[in-house]
Amino acid sequence: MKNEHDLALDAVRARLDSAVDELDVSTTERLRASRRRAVDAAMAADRGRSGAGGRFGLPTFGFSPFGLRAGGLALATGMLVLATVFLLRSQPGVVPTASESPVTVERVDILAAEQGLEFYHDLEFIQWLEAHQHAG
Amino acid sequence: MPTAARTLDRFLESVERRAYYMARLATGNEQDALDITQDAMTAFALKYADKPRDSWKPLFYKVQQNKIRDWIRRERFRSRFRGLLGRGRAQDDDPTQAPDPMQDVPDPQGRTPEELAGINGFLGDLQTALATLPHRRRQVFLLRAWEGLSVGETAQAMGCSEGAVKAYYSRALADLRTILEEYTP
Repeated sequence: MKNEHDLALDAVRARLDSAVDELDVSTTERLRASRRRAVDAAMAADRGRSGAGGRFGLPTFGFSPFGLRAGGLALATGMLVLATVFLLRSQPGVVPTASESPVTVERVDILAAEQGLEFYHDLEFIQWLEAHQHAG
Repeated sequence: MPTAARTLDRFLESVERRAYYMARLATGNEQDALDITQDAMTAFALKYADKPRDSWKPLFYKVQQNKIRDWIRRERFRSRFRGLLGRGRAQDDDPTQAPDPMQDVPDPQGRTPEELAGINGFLGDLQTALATLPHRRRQVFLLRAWEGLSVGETAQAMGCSEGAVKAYYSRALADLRTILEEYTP
C-alpha cells in the first residue's frame, strides 16, 4: 500500500505527464523532425561503417563515400604495383637491369618497400664495387 | 523503414518530450531546449544506437545531461560578461564528488520564480518549484521520480556516484516538500 509520500509523487508524475501531453503542435513537430534527422544520421553512419547490409538494413555492397575513398585508393595502388611486377617478370628471357630499363623490378620493389632511399643508393654502390672487383 | 531504424525511432519518440521538458526547465527557453534535445538525439543515435536496447535510456540521458551542462557553461560564461549572474551560490555540497560548478546553478539566466512562472504560461506551481531547484537536484529528481531510472542508471546518466544521486534526490525532496504537501491527498 502506498504512503502519502508515494501518492504525492504519483500526483507529481501525473502533472508532469500532462505538461508534456499539452505541448503545442509546433514543438511536437519540431521534435519529430529532430528525431527523423537523428535516425537518418544513424542510418547514414551505419552505411558508412558496414559493408553489405548494415544494422539498418540498407545494402551498400561495400561502397560508401568514406570507405571508397580510403579503401579504393589502397586497392588501386596495390593492384598497380602487382600488375607492373607481373608484367615485367612475365617477359621470357629478359632480366631487366638498372641500365637497360627505366622501370625495373628492382625499382618497383624499391617503390613498394618502406626502406629509405639512401639504403638503395648504398646498395647500387656495393653492386658497382662488386662488379669492378670481379672485372679487375 | 528497417527494423533497427524503427526501434531507434520508437525509443526516441518515447523520450523526446520528457527530454525536451527537462531541457526547457534547465534552459528556460524553448529554442535552446529544442536545440539541446535535437543534439542529444543525434549524438545518441550516432554513438550508442548499437548498444543493448535496455541500456539506451540512461545513455540517452547521459548525452542529454552533457548537452545541458555545455549549455549552462556557455550561459555562465556569457552571463559573467553581461553581469547578470550576481546571485548567491546554492549549497548543494556532495561529499563524494569534487566541486562542480553545475550543481550551484539555480537558473543560468538569473530569473526569479515569478519571471519563470510567466514564461508563456508554460510553468505552473510545480514547474516553478522544479525550475528554481539547483540543476543537479532537479535532474536527479526528474530522472528518478519521473523517468523511473534506478539509482545506478541515474548515476550513469548524471556521471556521478550512486551516493551522490541519493543525496541529490533527498535534497530535492526536501526542497520540494512544500509543493509535495500540496499534492498529498
